[in-house]
Amino acid sequence: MSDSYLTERSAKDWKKSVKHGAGEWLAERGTSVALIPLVLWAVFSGIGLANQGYEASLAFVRVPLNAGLIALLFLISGWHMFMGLKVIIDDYIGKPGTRGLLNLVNLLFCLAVVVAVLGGLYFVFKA
Amino acid sequence: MVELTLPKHSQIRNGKRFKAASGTKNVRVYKIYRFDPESGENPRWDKYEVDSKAHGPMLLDALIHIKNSIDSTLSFRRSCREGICGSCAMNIGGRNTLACTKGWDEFSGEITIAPLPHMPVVKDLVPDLSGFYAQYASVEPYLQSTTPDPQKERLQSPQNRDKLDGLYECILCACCSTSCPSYWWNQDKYLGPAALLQAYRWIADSRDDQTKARLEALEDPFKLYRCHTIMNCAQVCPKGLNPAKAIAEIKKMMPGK
Repeated sequence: MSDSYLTERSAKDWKKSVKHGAGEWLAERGTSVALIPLVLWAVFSGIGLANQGYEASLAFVRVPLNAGLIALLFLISGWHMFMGLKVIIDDYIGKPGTRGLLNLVNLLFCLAVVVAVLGGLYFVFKA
Repeated sequence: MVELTLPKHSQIRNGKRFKAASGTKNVRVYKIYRFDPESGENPRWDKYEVDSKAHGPMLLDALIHIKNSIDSTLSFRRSCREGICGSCAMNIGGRNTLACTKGWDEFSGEITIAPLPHMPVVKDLVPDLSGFYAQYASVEPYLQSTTPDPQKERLQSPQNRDKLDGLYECILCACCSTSCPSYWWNQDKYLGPAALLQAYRWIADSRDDQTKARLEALEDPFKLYRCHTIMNCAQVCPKGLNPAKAIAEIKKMMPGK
């Protein structure tokens, strides 16, 4: 048979475990739950700011509580997005090298989104 | 890894048609996957016109009739003929099930029969389950206890015994694992629903005291956490079990182990 992985990987090999995964599983669920109120707050805030103009939006972001919630929303979203995309990459990309590279790109992309938002908040306060 | 197209040597071609004798009534057509790796030829779909009055009520009866009376080269596994051994698991009408407990009259029109999906094929309807059995063996599916053996049996309360219902009935037919997309893509790393249900069967057993070690052995992003609760396993289980629920119970226990 050409499908060597079925015969080469014995029961003994299957017993090996990297001893992690539960933390990631909990983090996926924890970030999902945390995003429910944060996303609702963001949606209702966005509806409230509609047609209010640029200055009103700036004033909204300058309120420390609002800025804190925006930062929290994007920190948790970025983390959640990274974990979600990682699951898809791990599911569908079999080659370890390609998988590692794509996971690195995923990490950098999610970090860039979070850094962009935090940077934006910084400049709003600095202005 | 996911593959969206079949390699050339796996593409299925049209095969022979075995016609029923003229004048035969109650004819059903069986479209059956045929493959012999030793021939070097591609797999093919052979069609058999079968007189339904000539065999019993189950699809396994039809297959046995085809092998005995129409084409003796057809290969398939079977043993108990009553849904206990799991040998005749195959994909019938696009769904994994046991040929011995599925009636041919439950289908309309042509009945398509193929081996369990995404497994190497030994011949025709016989899949290679070596990897599946290695996965099963790896969960150490037997009682482990550090307490000395008692004079008689190890006692268990009725409440603790109830926790094994829905788990111990698994017949290892592989219908669940081979219906799971996560298992299709990652069967070299993911244990699959059947092995994980069996793992939970021993984790849930009050007489076994190796729960922590069993959980530690399963904590792995690929061995356990490739389950995304797709639920195909519960949909197709011919014994009506729910492997996805057993996997969810393992996941719930894992952080507190």
